[in-house]
Amino acid sequence: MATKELILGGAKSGKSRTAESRAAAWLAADTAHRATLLATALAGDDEMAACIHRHQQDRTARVPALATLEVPRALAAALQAHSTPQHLLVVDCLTLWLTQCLLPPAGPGMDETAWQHEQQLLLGALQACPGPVVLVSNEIGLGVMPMSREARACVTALGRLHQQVAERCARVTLMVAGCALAVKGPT
Amino acid sequence: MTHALIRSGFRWCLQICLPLALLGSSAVVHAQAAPTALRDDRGTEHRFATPPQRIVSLLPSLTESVWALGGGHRLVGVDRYSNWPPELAALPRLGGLDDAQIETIVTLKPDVVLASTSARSIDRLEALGFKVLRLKSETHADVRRTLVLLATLLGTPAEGDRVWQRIQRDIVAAAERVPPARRGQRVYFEIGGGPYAAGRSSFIGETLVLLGMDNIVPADLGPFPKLNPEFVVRAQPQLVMGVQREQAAMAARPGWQSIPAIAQNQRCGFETPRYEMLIRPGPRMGEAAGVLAECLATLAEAAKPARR
Repeated sequence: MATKELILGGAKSGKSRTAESRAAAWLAADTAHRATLLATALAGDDEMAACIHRHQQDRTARVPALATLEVPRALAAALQAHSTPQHLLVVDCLTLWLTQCLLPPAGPGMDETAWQHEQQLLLGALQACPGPVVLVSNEIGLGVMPMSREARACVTALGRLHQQVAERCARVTLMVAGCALAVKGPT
Repeated sequence: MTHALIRSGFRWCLQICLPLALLGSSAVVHAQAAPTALRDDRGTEHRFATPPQRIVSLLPSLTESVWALGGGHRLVGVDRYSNWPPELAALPRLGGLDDAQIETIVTLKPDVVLASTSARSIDRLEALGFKVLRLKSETHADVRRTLVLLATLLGTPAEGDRVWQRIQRDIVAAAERVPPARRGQRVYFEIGGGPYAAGRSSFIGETLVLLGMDNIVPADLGPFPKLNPEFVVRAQPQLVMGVQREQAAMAARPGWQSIPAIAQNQRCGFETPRYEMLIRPGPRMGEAAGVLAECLATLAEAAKPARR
């Protein structure tokens, strides 16, 4: 059962915790199972570094057998390299991955062609994964349109990415205030 | 101007994503020329106007960390147990944590001394005005924090995370080599000649968990508890790991023949150099995971695996 799931939600809605619980359930189901988290964050400042540190500690306490690899950019390659039928991968999160592709902390971001290519690589890799994958991302498209052009471009690109990822996932879950709403597939 | 806009866009996205569960590089961003302030694991703050050029390390894992971070040439003396890498063999040996040769250390004029939190004899060095960084190394989180701190101390903050990421990649690669039939087996990892063990909450225990192995020593007993030998017999580990030279004596301990791992020779006895790598919470932790995985992959399965 190579289930793919997209977990969406707002900030602090319980997305990562839900993804972790999927990993814990996977590990508990069979001793041959493995799980690795592909973390996409970069610590751009002290606040982000502290936030990352807090999440690392929470994760170690909650799911000690969940290994972590940091993959700020080469997500498609990491999915390809590590997915096996016994190995569940959690991607946390697509939002930051997209941000780092389009608006990297240093240097110019990808242009439209490069981004389309990168997106197709990811979608292809996701579809080809022989094992289960849980992808976490922020639902940032619900409020008013942001003021800046860059932010609008980010919302638009992420919305498009979500639609394409969701299309390839058997299960889509929306997190609100720690509660899971089944958007697609089994609850 | 365009750049400023892009930055503001990036910041905006970061703010959106801040509360996510993420793991990223915890590289400390400091201007190289500015003085560096570092807080050690005892809570003492140390200030360095410039990165130290003369470093004494009194713990093998710290020696190895400084080396892996590219600061090997700044080491001017190490403790007697620091034996890796061989390039450091010519450095003065300064005793151990409890019998450090204070006079020799003083003559070396170190800018900083690296020690563990539990090093009692080091108080004297502090009384003499030396900067002593006391660092705890019991868990993976400790190792990561120490690598980043030492990298910052050396003036190359990004190196800490680079070394840590390599450890992570090596551990994940090692886990891929563990045969599925081995996963979930309960391990007793003995420290030295026992009866100390590496528990679930130690860095060794954390690596074993990432390799898919179970541990007979629960986290609440602490990282390296002293065990009653009967505890090990009662726990009936399916696998025993430890230093090779203790293996014969282990089987002769009263009652230990009833342990499945001993009765069925399900044992990973590591020769001393590899064993030392396994018990050092430093930059070779990923390589150590590979050594564990190799034993798990090559050890012939018991005739009737005693699985629960």
